Amino acid sequence: MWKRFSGWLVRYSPSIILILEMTFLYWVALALLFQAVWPNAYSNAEPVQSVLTAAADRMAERTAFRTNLQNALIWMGIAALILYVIYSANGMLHMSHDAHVKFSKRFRGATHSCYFVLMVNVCADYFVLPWANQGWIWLRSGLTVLGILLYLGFLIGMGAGYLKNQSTEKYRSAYLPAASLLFSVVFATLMKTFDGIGMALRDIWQYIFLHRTIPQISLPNTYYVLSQPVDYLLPLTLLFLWLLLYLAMKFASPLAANTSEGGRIYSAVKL
Amino acid sequence: MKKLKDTKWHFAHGWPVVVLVVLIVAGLVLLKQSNLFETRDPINFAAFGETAAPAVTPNPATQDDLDVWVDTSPSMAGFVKIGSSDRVPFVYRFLLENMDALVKAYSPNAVPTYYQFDSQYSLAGSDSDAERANARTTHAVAESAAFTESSNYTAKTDAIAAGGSSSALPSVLNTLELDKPALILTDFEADGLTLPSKEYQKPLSRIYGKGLCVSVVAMKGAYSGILYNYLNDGDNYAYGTTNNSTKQMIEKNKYQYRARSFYAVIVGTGRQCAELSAQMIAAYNNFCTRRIVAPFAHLTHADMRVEDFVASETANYRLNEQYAPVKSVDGKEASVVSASGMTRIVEATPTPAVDGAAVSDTSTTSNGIPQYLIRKKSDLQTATLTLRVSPPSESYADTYASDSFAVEPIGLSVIKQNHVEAVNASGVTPAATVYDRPGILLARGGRYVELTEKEIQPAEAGYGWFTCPEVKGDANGVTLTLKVNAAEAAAGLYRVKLPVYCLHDTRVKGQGDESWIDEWTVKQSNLSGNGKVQNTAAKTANLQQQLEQFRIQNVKQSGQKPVQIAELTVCIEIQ
Repeated sequence: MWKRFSGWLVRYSPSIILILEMTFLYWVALALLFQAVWPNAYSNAEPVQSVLTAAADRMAERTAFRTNLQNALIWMGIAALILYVIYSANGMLHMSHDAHVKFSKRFRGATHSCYFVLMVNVCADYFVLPWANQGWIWLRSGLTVLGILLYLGFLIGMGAGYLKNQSTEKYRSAYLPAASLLFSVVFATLMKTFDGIGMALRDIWQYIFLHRTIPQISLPNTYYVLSQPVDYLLPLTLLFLWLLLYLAMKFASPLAANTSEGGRIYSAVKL
Repeated sequence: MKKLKDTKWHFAHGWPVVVLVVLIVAGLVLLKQSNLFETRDPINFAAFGETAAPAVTPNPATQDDLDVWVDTSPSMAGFVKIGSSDRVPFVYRFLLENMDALVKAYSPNAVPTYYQFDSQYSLAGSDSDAERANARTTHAVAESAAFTESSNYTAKTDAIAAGGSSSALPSVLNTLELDKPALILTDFEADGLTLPSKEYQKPLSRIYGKGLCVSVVAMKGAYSGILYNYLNDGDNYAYGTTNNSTKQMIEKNKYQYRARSFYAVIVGTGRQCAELSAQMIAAYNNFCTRRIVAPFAHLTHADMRVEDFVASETANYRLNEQYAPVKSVDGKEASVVSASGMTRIVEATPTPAVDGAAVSDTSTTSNGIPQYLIRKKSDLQTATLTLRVSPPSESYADTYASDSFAVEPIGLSVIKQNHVEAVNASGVTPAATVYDRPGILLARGGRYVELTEKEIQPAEAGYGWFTCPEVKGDANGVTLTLKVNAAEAAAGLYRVKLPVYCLHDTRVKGQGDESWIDEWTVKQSNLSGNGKVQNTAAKTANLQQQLEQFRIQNVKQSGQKPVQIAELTVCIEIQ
């Protein structure tokens, strides 16, 4: 047991080290943001439409916003980590080399799209663009639809490729577990995301054809206006996380083990 | 399996660090680019529903007007030439742009009338109301938006360059209508000002003589402009500007937008001064505290920690807190507390008197004036009326007195005679609302007559049957006792007026802490340009002097002449 575990540890140590490194870096980024930058740049910023007049209330509101945002960023980090672990696990599907390459690249694309949708929605939940609130609705809805479509596109493309190529010898190895994983993900995603797409399209439809006001009329006070350049550091942190996820998938990938440019350090994932 | 050196491990482990560094660098650049004094941009929610409050239609009956005089001298342009009104230091511009709202907060129906004046304005010596009205017409400005463009401020003139004797502010004080409150925005730096104190005497005597009050609210805002002919020495000084030289561009935070004081001089009754001052201070404080996005502890602006900057901005000084020249008298406070030997026939409906003005005057009709009836029962009867004035006391040893009274006989003439048919038919007297009002006398036979007043010339008789001993009261008010010797009195209707005077305590205390004046004046280090810095005195030319003028005139006015704060009027009918 221990031998198997230690072997597993040794083989996966490069990925584990990288994950630890990235976690540390993200922790540093968050610490810089909330311990150094926040007290100097954001501590007195006003949320949108604050109707509070007492200084203590406004202070409490700002503190609440900071806590909420900090939690959101931490949870986004955890989400990125989970996505990466799921992605890494595809090495266990024991696919043939070419199949694994195709699968991993599409899976990576889908993961990024998924994370992108998450990111857009977190931004939309916390920030308001000062130049055009209407533009923000376009951006939010449009990006959500785009991200979800990309995500579905990657997944469906993956599935279609498998169905098409299952008869091919070189793709044949273990297509069944891969395909079942895939379709369960596709199914769950479809069920879940049609709702999101529907809402986003409804917003756009109402805005264009019905000239309706979008339900953002009830903005809570905890929305934050990105008015100063430094304010954009807050959503940029999510981009940083996205980039870390991308780099991890790129360089600490099970794919690296199966491609010619893969190195020893990441070759732990067996075919 | 490749060897480690052949792999891309340095990419794998290096890129995250590079990305973090990029993020940090981006953060520093963004931080540097940010103006942490800048507030959030206003969000336009127009597409999402009504945000504008429904407009209040001014009711002419309750309209509470306000005159706003704005100093448009060249030195004032430095307050408005900076673009945004949405940053903390640019509060002057903000106040100008939001004057309508500020006034609305003072009184919902207030309609401000805007006037502009510059350092060349001169009307200090005029006594003519016609000239004043004419000057107001000439200097009226259609809308306040004109004040937020620096191009609308007067440029430096030859008169300024030559050094002059501007009496702009005394002239404005002299031009005020005084029937409504006025708010003057100025920096007290009338360019080329050499101000003889006598210029202030007449305007201030006029104001204080009317029982009005002057209040000064001092504020600070960013300034970037030229002070022309500063200290009347013929030299101009750049204040809070960079001159765009490279060196100063680098150090621009040091020189640009340096804080400089401006003042709101409010003239009105005590209540108006207090409310307008409070409104002004509230708007100012609200603006300053809510627009700050910067941390208080570390960042600096104009060599000053932001905290100090804001603290100095929000300081205020109100002249009328210690030198209230008038204790306002509410008409309701002056009342008859007892009447012996008399019958009250008309209930006094309290007329809401304007603060500081007489409770009633000659133009007032019998409406609202209590009326008493004395029936001559015996030759020795004396009727006594005790009245009391109890102004709200806010300060020190003011005394109230009444040392005289005036009696005017009023003739009544019948203008209309009505016959109440109902009384004849049923024997029922008419409803009280029909006859229980001034000027109605019931007559026998169910008739009543409606009377109107007619002034008759007083006879040579001195009306000696009215007596009212001179009384003095303390800060709590004064009790007047009017006695009527009914035995000697001739029948008739008399209107008795009892003026009440207020003698202010002339032992005016010193201001106490006047160190703020030093803090708020222009320092040498604030001035640059023309190489004349060395010659510059470290004090603002006129602030202390002008405040001293307000004070001296107030003391003089209060000490030499009692201010009439109320006039009690009763009507007494003697049968």
